[in-house]
Amino acid sequence: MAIIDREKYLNYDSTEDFILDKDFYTWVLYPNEERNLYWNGFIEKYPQKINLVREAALIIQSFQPLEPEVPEYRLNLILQKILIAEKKILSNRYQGLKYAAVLVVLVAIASLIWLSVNKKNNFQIEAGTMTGMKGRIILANGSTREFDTEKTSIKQSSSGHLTINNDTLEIKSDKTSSAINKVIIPYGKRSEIMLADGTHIWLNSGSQLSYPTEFKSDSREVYLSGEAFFDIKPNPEKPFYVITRDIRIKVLGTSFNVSSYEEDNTSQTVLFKGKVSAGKNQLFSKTVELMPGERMIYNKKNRGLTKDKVDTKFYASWIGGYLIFENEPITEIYKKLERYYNKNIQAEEGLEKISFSGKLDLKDKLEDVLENISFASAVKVQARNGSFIIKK
Amino acid sequence: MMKILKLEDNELWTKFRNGDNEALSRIYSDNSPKLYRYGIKITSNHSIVEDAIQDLFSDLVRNRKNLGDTDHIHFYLIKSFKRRLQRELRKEMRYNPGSENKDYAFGITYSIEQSIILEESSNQNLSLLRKALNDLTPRQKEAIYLKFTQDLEYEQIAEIMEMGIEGSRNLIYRAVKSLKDSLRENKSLLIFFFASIF
Repeated sequence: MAIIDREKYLNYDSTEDFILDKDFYTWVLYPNEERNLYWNGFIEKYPQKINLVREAALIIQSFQPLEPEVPEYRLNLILQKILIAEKKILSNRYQGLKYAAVLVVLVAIASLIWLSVNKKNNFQIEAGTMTGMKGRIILANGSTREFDTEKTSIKQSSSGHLTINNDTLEIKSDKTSSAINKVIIPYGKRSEIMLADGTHIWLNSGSQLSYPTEFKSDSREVYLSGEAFFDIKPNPEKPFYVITRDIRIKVLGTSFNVSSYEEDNTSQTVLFKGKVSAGKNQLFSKTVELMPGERMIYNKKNRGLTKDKVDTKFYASWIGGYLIFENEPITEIYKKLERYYNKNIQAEEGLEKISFSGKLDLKDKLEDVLENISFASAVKVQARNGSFIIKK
Repeated sequence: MMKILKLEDNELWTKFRNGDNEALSRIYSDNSPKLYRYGIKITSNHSIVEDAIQDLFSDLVRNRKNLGDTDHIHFYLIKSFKRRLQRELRKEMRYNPGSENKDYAFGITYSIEQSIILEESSNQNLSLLRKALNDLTPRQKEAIYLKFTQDLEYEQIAEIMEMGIEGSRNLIYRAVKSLKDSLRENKSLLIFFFASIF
């Protein structure tokens, strides 16, 4: 946009003129640095237009719909059906067996593209890994190590040594660029990670963490999908950032818990000690400072941030291998248990109104944990083919 | 990681017509969520919406050699998608009278209805806007949605909604004006809730 266009907006003398102008509504709906510069410059130069601009922007913002969840999984299945149907026509025509192989590759490509378009690389969940039996670490050089311990301890040193459960690997690091390792912990497992700067992270079931093997730049950044508890080594010169798909948390030496699972409707950050500021993971987003004992909730549906006070003991108990709840809807508890035990739990409709208070020991068998909840909440548990059905 | 270059619409479309299934996947993953979100506002019946998406793309693949040119894939798809959806809904109504509400409603919920909290806001303005938004006619809601959320032009909206270009222009203008008038009812100063822009 050239500066000269600005003059055209001087002739705009109603709110409607601004609302219906494509450049204007594009700015309001998708602000970026260039557009901000342009429009803030316009307002500065022609302050008499500011009320029209504000009113127009308010109205445009009000158009933003609350969109329903798109069933990505089913949409992806539809695409695969279409591709398979097409290949059937072709292979009937040629009667050749070799097309079976083409089909498999094509379907794989379809899912690959689907994923790469819809997810950023650092948050990309590797297909099938969350429900698998083994945890994995994908190293910066592309190789993968697997481990199948319940609780895995991982230690990264700045000299490039990586220790997994007492086995040390020496990885020659490329000195020029900072290398990223990705740890994937499937449902049913947990892990404890020590980073090169001394930061200590507990990674919960069904979670993924990407971290640099060495913190070379002037900030320390890790990427999380799922839930983790952080105990950050203070370093005022290198602030620590935890980045999830929706939120970005800036840390100044502290401990806190972040829960940001893809399948949950909210991302939550709870501060235990120290100070963090958190906001949406986007440009020009406001940040909120948290004090110990405070929780920030990001609601994915309406993209709103809220803050409240909580009892922190409910948010870190999983590290010690148990869960504490106070008046928690039992359906939320079942969601957590599904992740810890990697089992399917189906709850009948209406159960979300029942809540549970108490302590659950994750060392117990799932059957016993469920029995414990059922007893207190007067619901029935049925085991069927390895999954559990809860009824009123 | 596979690199995907951003192709111009007509180039991508030509690749698809020439049998490139990577182009098909790309078109599908870019567009199917948008079609789904639009469809689910026209009918709350998920399976009809999903069937219409599947029919649309199956037909495209079957006829790929005979398709025309387009330099706006999103518009091309949404227009055809809506026709299919309406056909399915009419069929559904014939077999199963009373299954869909006879009065057409564009089922949209605005985020303003649940917006809150950290942002400074003038509650009076918000509640006036909220009310005015809900008083829009279904066709006004649909036209506004197509323009501002699906980012389409008046000409395209006119085709999708089966009306004249002037008609689509008027429809949107009147909707926008009624929202402005609702705000002007409030004499107090306009305070905003989107400080992050400025």
